[in-house]
Amino acid sequence: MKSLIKKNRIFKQILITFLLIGFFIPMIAVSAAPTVDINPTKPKPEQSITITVVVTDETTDAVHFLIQECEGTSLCHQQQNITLNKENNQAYSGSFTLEYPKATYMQYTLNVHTTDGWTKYDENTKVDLDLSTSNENGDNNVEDSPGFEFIVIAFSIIFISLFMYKRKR
Amino acid sequence: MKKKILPIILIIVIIITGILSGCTTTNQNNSTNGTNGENFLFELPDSTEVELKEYRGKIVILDMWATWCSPCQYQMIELKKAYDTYSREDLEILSINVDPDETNQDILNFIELFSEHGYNLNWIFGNEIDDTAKYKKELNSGIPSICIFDRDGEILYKHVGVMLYDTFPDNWTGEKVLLKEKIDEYIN
Repeated sequence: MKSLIKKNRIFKQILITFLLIGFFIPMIAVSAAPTVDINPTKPKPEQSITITVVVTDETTDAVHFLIQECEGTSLCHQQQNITLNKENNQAYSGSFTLEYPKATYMQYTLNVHTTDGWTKYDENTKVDLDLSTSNENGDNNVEDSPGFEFIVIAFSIIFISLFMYKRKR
Repeated sequence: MKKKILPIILIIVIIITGILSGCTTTNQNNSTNGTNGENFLFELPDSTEVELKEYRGKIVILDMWATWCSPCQYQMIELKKAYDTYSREDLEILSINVDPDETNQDILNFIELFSEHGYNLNWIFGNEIDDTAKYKKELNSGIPSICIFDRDGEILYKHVGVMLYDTFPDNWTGEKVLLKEKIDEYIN
Protein backbone atom coordinates (compact mmCIF):
# COMPACT_ATOMS: atom_id res chain seq x y z
CA MET A 1 0.00 0.00 0.00
CA LYS A 2 2.73 2.40 1.01
CA SER A 3 4.70 1.55 -2.07
CA LEU A 4 1.66 2.26 -4.21
CA ILE A 5 1.21 5.70 -2.62
CA LYS A 6 4.89 6.36 -3.05
CA LYS A 7 4.77 5.37 -6.74
CA ASN A 8 1.77 7.61 -7.22
CA ARG A 9 3.59 10.57 -5.69
CA ILE A 10 6.66 9.95 -7.83
CA PHE A 11 4.48 9.71 -10.90
CA LYS A 12 2.79 13.01 -10.01
CA GLN A 13 6.13 14.70 -9.47
CA ILE A 14 7.42 13.46 -12.81
CA LEU A 15 4.25 14.62 -14.51
CA ILE A 16 4.43 18.08 -12.91
CA THR A 17 8.11 18.37 -13.84
CA PHE A 18 7.40 17.57 -17.50
CA LEU A 19 4.50 20.00 -17.55
CA LEU A 20 6.67 22.78 -16.15
CA ILE A 21 9.45 22.05 -18.62
CA GLY A 22 6.94 22.00 -21.45
CA PHE A 23 5.56 25.32 -20.26
CA PHE A 24 8.87 27.14 -19.94
CA ILE A 25 10.82 25.79 -22.94
CA PRO A 26 8.71 27.64 -25.54
CA MET A 27 9.20 30.85 -23.56
CA ILE A 28 12.97 30.41 -23.66
CA ALA A 29 13.01 29.46 -27.35
CA VAL A 30 10.81 32.39 -28.38
CA SER A 31 12.56 34.99 -26.29
CA ALA A 32 15.86 34.44 -28.20
CA ALA A 33 14.46 36.34 -31.19
CA PRO A 34 13.80 40.06 -30.89
CA THR A 35 10.22 41.22 -30.74
CA VAL A 36 8.95 44.00 -32.96
CA ASP A 37 6.14 46.36 -32.12
CA ILE A 38 4.79 48.80 -34.68
CA ASN A 39 2.46 51.54 -33.58
CA PRO A 40 -0.11 51.82 -35.00
CA THR A 41 -0.32 48.12 -35.82
CA LYS A 42 -2.13 48.89 -39.06
CA PRO A 43 -0.95 52.30 -40.20
CA LYS A 44 -2.44 54.35 -42.95
CA PRO A 45 -0.44 55.47 -46.00
CA GLU A 46 1.71 58.52 -45.23
CA GLN A 47 1.18 58.04 -41.51
CA SER A 48 3.98 58.22 -38.94
CA ILE A 49 4.82 54.97 -37.23
CA THR A 50 6.84 54.19 -34.13
CA ILE A 51 8.95 51.07 -34.14
CA THR A 52 10.04 49.42 -30.91
CA VAL A 53 12.30 46.39 -30.86
CA VAL A 54 13.06 44.41 -27.72
CA VAL A 55 16.21 42.33 -27.91
CA THR A 56 17.34 39.57 -25.59
CA ASP A 57 20.99 39.34 -26.63
CA GLU A 58 22.92 41.57 -24.25
CA THR A 59 25.74 42.02 -26.78
CA THR A 60 23.39 43.88 -29.15
CA ASP A 61 24.88 47.21 -30.12
CA ALA A 62 22.87 48.24 -33.21
CA VAL A 63 19.41 47.60 -34.61
CA HIS A 64 18.34 48.52 -38.13
CA PHE A 65 14.83 48.40 -39.49
CA LEU A 66 14.59 47.92 -43.27
CA ILE A 67 11.25 48.92 -44.71
CA GLN A 68 9.72 48.96 -48.17
CA GLU A 69 6.35 50.33 -49.19
CA CYS A 70 4.56 48.50 -51.97
CA GLU A 71 1.52 49.21 -54.11
CA GLY A 72 -0.40 45.96 -54.45
CA THR A 73 0.97 43.72 -57.17
CA SER A 74 2.22 46.70 -59.14
CA LEU A 75 5.46 47.88 -57.62
CA CYS A 76 7.57 48.42 -54.53
CA HIS A 77 9.44 51.56 -53.62
CA GLN A 78 13.01 52.01 -52.56
CA GLN A 79 14.01 50.22 -49.38
CA GLN A 80 14.58 52.54 -46.41
CA ASN A 81 17.08 51.72 -43.69
CA ILE A 82 16.10 53.14 -40.30
CA THR A 83 18.63 53.09 -37.47
CA LEU A 84 16.81 52.60 -34.19
CA ASN A 85 17.94 54.42 -31.04
CA LYS A 86 18.82 52.55 -27.87
CA GLU A 87 16.29 53.29 -25.15
CA ASN A 88 17.65 50.91 -22.52
CA ASN A 89 19.58 47.65 -22.35
CA GLN A 90 16.89 45.79 -24.20
CA ALA A 91 14.75 48.24 -26.16
CA TYR A 92 15.47 50.13 -29.35
CA SER A 93 13.03 52.50 -30.96
CA GLY A 94 12.60 54.89 -33.83
CA SER A 95 9.97 56.57 -35.94
CA PHE A 96 9.31 56.77 -39.64
CA THR A 97 6.76 58.50 -41.81
CA LEU A 98 5.39 56.39 -44.62
CA GLU A 99 5.92 58.22 -47.88
CA TYR A 100 3.71 56.86 -50.61
CA PRO A 101 -0.03 57.64 -50.74
CA LYS A 102 -0.79 54.68 -53.01
CA ALA A 103 0.99 52.09 -50.86
CA THR A 104 -1.21 49.17 -49.83
CA TYR A 105 1.27 47.31 -47.65
CA MET A 106 4.70 47.63 -46.18
CA GLN A 107 7.23 44.94 -45.47
CA TYR A 108 10.13 45.00 -43.09
CA THR A 109 13.25 43.14 -42.11
CA LEU A 110 15.04 43.49 -38.81
CA ASN A 111 18.84 43.64 -38.77
CA VAL A 112 20.47 43.19 -35.38
CA HIS A 113 24.17 43.58 -34.72
CA THR A 114 25.83 41.68 -31.89
CA THR A 115 29.29 40.32 -31.22
CA ASP A 116 28.41 37.59 -33.72
CA GLY A 117 27.83 40.14 -36.46
CA TRP A 118 24.62 41.08 -38.29
CA THR A 119 21.61 38.77 -38.11
CA LYS A 120 18.36 39.21 -40.01
CA TYR A 121 15.01 38.54 -38.38
CA ASP A 122 11.46 38.65 -39.64
CA GLU A 123 12.64 38.87 -43.23
CA ASN A 124 10.14 40.60 -45.49
CA THR A 125 7.34 40.52 -42.91
CA LYS A 126 4.28 42.03 -44.53
CA VAL A 127 2.05 44.58 -42.82
CA ASP A 128 -1.14 45.57 -44.60
CA LEU A 129 -1.93 49.25 -44.44
CA ASP A 130 -5.26 50.65 -43.38
CA LEU A 131 -6.84 51.82 -46.61
CA SER A 132 -10.19 52.80 -45.14
CA THR A 133 -11.17 56.33 -46.12
CA SER A 134 -11.77 57.92 -42.73
CA ASN A 135 -11.82 61.71 -42.22
CA GLU A 136 -9.77 63.71 -39.75
CA ASN A 137 -8.94 62.69 -36.16
CA GLY A 138 -12.32 63.11 -34.42
CA ASP A 139 -14.35 61.24 -36.96
CA ASN A 140 -12.90 57.87 -36.10
CA ASN A 141 -14.30 58.27 -32.62
CA VAL A 142 -17.65 59.25 -34.07
CA GLU A 143 -17.65 56.04 -36.13
CA ASP A 144 -16.93 53.95 -33.02
CA SER A 145 -19.36 55.55 -30.55
CA PRO A 146 -22.76 54.55 -32.05
CA GLY A 147 -22.08 50.98 -31.00
CA PHE A 148 -21.36 51.95 -27.43
CA GLU A 149 -24.37 54.26 -27.32
CA PHE A 150 -26.72 51.50 -28.34
CA ILE A 151 -25.43 49.23 -25.58
CA VAL A 152 -26.00 51.92 -22.95
CA ILE A 153 -29.48 52.64 -24.29
CA ALA A 154 -30.37 48.92 -24.37
CA PHE A 155 -29.28 48.38 -20.78
CA SER A 156 -31.14 51.51 -19.69
CA ILE A 157 -34.34 50.27 -21.30
CA ILE A 158 -33.96 46.87 -19.66
CA PHE A 159 -33.33 48.30 -16.20
CA ILE A 160 -36.12 50.86 -16.44
CA SER A 161 -38.51 48.17 -17.65
CA LEU A 162 -37.56 45.91 -14.75
CA PHE A 163 -37.95 48.77 -12.31
CA MET A 164 -41.36 49.67 -13.65
CA TYR A 165 -42.46 46.03 -13.61
CA LYS A 166 -41.40 45.63 -9.98
CA ARG A 167 -43.15 48.83 -9.01
CA LYS A 168 -46.37 47.63 -10.58
CA ARG A 169 -46.16 44.48 -8.54
CA MET B 1 60.98 82.53 -104.10
CA LYS B 2 57.36 82.38 -105.14
CA LYS B 3 57.97 79.06 -106.88
CA LYS B 4 59.28 77.56 -103.62
CA ILE B 5 56.44 78.89 -101.45
CA LEU B 6 53.55 77.70 -103.64
CA PRO B 7 54.34 73.95 -103.35
CA ILE B 8 54.73 74.30 -99.59
CA ILE B 9 51.34 76.01 -99.30
CA LEU B 10 49.82 73.35 -101.50
CA ILE B 11 51.22 70.56 -99.29
CA ILE B 12 49.88 72.25 -96.14
CA VAL B 13 46.41 72.60 -97.69
CA ILE B 14 46.44 68.92 -98.68
CA ILE B 15 47.46 67.87 -95.17
CA ILE B 16 44.76 70.00 -93.51
CA THR B 17 42.13 68.71 -95.91
CA GLY B 18 43.18 65.15 -95.15
CA ILE B 19 42.92 65.70 -91.39
CA LEU B 20 39.47 67.28 -91.63
CA SER B 21 38.09 64.56 -93.89
CA GLY B 22 39.47 61.93 -91.52
CA CYS B 23 37.55 63.47 -88.57
CA THR B 24 34.35 63.52 -90.60
CA THR B 25 34.77 59.87 -91.56
CA THR B 26 35.32 58.94 -87.88
CA ASN B 27 32.06 60.63 -86.79
CA GLN B 28 30.12 58.82 -89.46
CA ASN B 29 31.57 55.52 -88.37
CA ASN B 30 30.47 56.16 -84.75
CA SER B 31 26.85 56.71 -85.68
CA THR B 32 26.81 53.69 -88.00
CA ASN B 33 28.20 51.40 -85.31
CA GLY B 34 25.71 52.76 -82.68
CA THR B 35 28.40 53.72 -80.18
CA ASN B 36 26.27 56.76 -79.33
CA GLY B 37 23.77 54.48 -77.65
CA GLU B 38 23.32 54.01 -73.89
CA ASN B 39 25.72 51.96 -71.86
CA PHE B 40 26.14 50.75 -68.32
CA LEU B 41 28.17 48.19 -66.46
CA PHE B 42 26.82 45.31 -64.41
CA GLU B 43 28.14 42.14 -62.80
CA LEU B 44 27.03 38.60 -63.54
CA PRO B 45 26.55 36.18 -60.61
CA ASP B 46 29.98 34.71 -61.38
CA SER B 47 31.45 38.22 -60.87
CA THR B 48 32.13 38.79 -64.57
CA GLU B 49 31.61 42.43 -65.54
CA VAL B 50 29.44 43.03 -68.58
CA GLU B 51 28.27 46.12 -70.46
CA LEU B 52 24.97 46.89 -72.17
CA LYS B 53 26.78 47.67 -75.42
CA GLU B 54 27.75 44.02 -75.76
CA TYR B 55 24.14 43.42 -76.74
CA ARG B 56 24.01 45.85 -79.67
CA GLY B 57 22.01 44.45 -82.56
CA LYS B 58 19.27 43.16 -80.25
CA ILE B 59 16.26 44.68 -78.57
CA VAL B 60 17.22 44.70 -74.88
CA ILE B 61 14.77 44.72 -71.99
CA LEU B 62 16.36 46.06 -68.82
CA ASP B 63 14.44 44.79 -65.81
CA MET B 64 15.33 46.46 -62.50
CA TRP B 65 14.36 44.38 -59.48
CA ALA B 66 15.22 43.09 -56.01
CA THR B 67 14.58 39.74 -54.32
CA TRP B 68 12.33 41.22 -51.63
CA CYS B 69 10.00 42.85 -54.15
CA SER B 70 6.87 40.72 -54.66
CA PRO B 71 5.72 42.58 -57.80
CA CYS B 72 9.20 41.91 -59.24
CA GLN B 73 8.55 38.21 -58.87
CA TYR B 74 5.32 38.63 -60.80
CA GLN B 75 7.29 40.49 -63.46
CA MET B 76 9.69 37.54 -63.83
CA ILE B 77 6.81 35.31 -64.88
CA GLU B 78 5.77 37.83 -67.53
CA LEU B 79 9.35 38.21 -68.77
CA LYS B 80 9.60 34.45 -69.09
CA LYS B 81 6.73 34.52 -71.56
CA ALA B 82 8.58 37.12 -73.63
CA TYR B 83 11.89 35.30 -73.48
CA ASP B 84 10.35 32.06 -74.70
CA THR B 85 8.61 33.78 -77.61
CA TYR B 86 11.37 35.69 -79.37
CA SER B 87 14.68 34.50 -80.78
CA ARG B 88 17.98 35.33 -79.12
CA GLU B 89 18.99 37.23 -82.24
CA ASP B 90 16.13 39.65 -81.70
CA LEU B 91 15.68 39.96 -77.96
CA GLU B 92 17.71 39.83 -74.79
CA ILE B 93 16.60 40.43 -71.22
CA LEU B 94 18.85 41.80 -68.50
CA SER B 95 17.42 41.50 -64.99
CA ILE B 96 19.62 43.75 -62.89
CA ASN B 97 19.27 43.74 -59.12
CA VAL B 98 19.31 47.34 -57.89
CA ASP B 99 19.54 46.67 -54.15
CA PRO B 100 23.17 47.33 -53.12
CA ASP B 101 22.75 45.09 -50.06
CA GLU B 102 21.95 42.02 -52.12
CA THR B 103 24.71 39.70 -53.27
CA ASN B 104 25.30 37.43 -56.22
CA GLN B 105 24.34 34.53 -53.99
CA ASP B 106 20.98 36.19 -53.26
CA ILE B 107 20.37 36.31 -57.00
CA LEU B 108 21.32 32.67 -57.45
CA ASN B 109 19.04 31.66 -54.56
CA PHE B 110 16.22 33.61 -56.16
CA ILE B 111 16.69 31.87 -59.51
CA GLU B 112 16.87 28.52 -57.75
CA LEU B 113 13.63 29.22 -55.90
CA PHE B 114 11.84 29.93 -59.17
CA SER B 115 13.32 26.80 -60.68
CA GLU B 116 11.87 24.74 -57.85
CA HIS B 117 8.47 26.13 -58.79
CA GLY B 118 8.85 25.24 -62.44
CA TYR B 119 10.06 28.57 -63.83
CA ASN B 120 13.43 28.48 -65.55
CA LEU B 121 14.68 32.06 -65.46
CA ASN B 122 17.25 31.44 -68.15
CA TRP B 123 18.09 34.98 -69.25
CA ILE B 124 20.82 37.25 -68.00
CA PHE B 125 20.83 38.21 -64.35
CA GLY B 126 23.22 40.57 -62.68
CA ASN B 127 24.02 43.03 -59.97
CA GLU B 128 24.11 46.76 -60.53
CA ILE B 129 27.55 48.36 -60.72
CA ASP B 130 26.92 51.78 -62.14
CA ASP B 131 24.57 53.82 -64.29
CA THR B 132 21.55 51.51 -64.07
CA ALA B 133 20.77 53.62 -61.03
CA LYS B 134 20.19 56.64 -63.23
CA TYR B 135 17.33 54.79 -64.92
CA LYS B 136 15.95 53.80 -61.56
CA LYS B 137 15.96 57.40 -60.35
CA GLU B 138 14.27 58.59 -63.50
CA LEU B 139 11.57 56.04 -62.83
CA ASN B 140 10.76 57.39 -59.32
CA SER B 141 12.63 54.69 -57.47
CA GLY B 142 9.91 52.10 -57.93
CA ILE B 143 10.58 48.53 -58.92
CA PRO B 144 10.08 46.54 -61.00
CA SER B 145 11.03 49.01 -63.70
CA ILE B 146 11.46 48.24 -67.36
CA CYS B 147 13.58 50.07 -69.93
CA ILE B 148 13.59 48.91 -73.54
CA PHE B 149 16.59 49.68 -75.76
CA ASP B 150 16.72 49.41 -79.52
CA ARG B 151 19.37 47.55 -81.50
CA ASP B 152 21.67 50.57 -81.32
CA GLY B 153 21.31 50.96 -77.58
CA GLU B 154 18.98 53.95 -77.73
CA ILE B 155 16.33 53.96 -75.05
CA LEU B 156 12.86 53.52 -76.55
CA TYR B 157 10.54 53.03 -73.62
CA LYS B 158 10.42 53.26 -69.83
CA HIS B 159 7.84 51.80 -67.50
CA VAL B 160 7.44 51.76 -63.71
CA GLY B 161 5.63 48.83 -62.12
CA VAL B 162 4.71 45.40 -63.41
CA MET B 163 4.39 45.20 -67.18
CA LEU B 164 2.24 42.30 -68.31
CA TYR B 165 3.20 40.31 -71.37
CA ASP B 166 0.04 39.77 -73.43
CA THR B 167 -3.06 39.68 -71.21
CA PHE B 168 -4.69 41.89 -68.59
CA PRO B 169 -6.45 40.05 -65.73
CA ASP B 170 -9.99 41.23 -64.97
CA ASN B 171 -9.01 43.09 -61.80
CA TRP B 172 -5.97 44.83 -63.31
CA THR B 173 -5.74 48.42 -62.14
CA GLY B 174 -2.27 49.20 -63.50
CA GLU B 175 -1.32 50.94 -66.70
CA LYS B 176 -2.73 49.15 -69.74
CA VAL B 177 0.38 48.68 -71.82
CA LEU B 178 1.46 45.21 -72.90
CA LEU B 179 5.07 44.11 -73.19
CA LYS B 180 4.31 42.04 -76.29
CA GLU B 181 2.94 45.04 -78.16
CA LYS B 182 6.05 47.07 -77.40
CA ILE B 183 8.46 44.30 -78.34
CA ASP B 184 6.64 43.60 -81.63
CA GLU B 185 6.67 47.29 -82.45
CA TYR B 186 10.40 47.65 -81.84
CA ILE B 187 11.49 44.38 -83.41
CA ASN B 188 9.60 45.12 -86.61
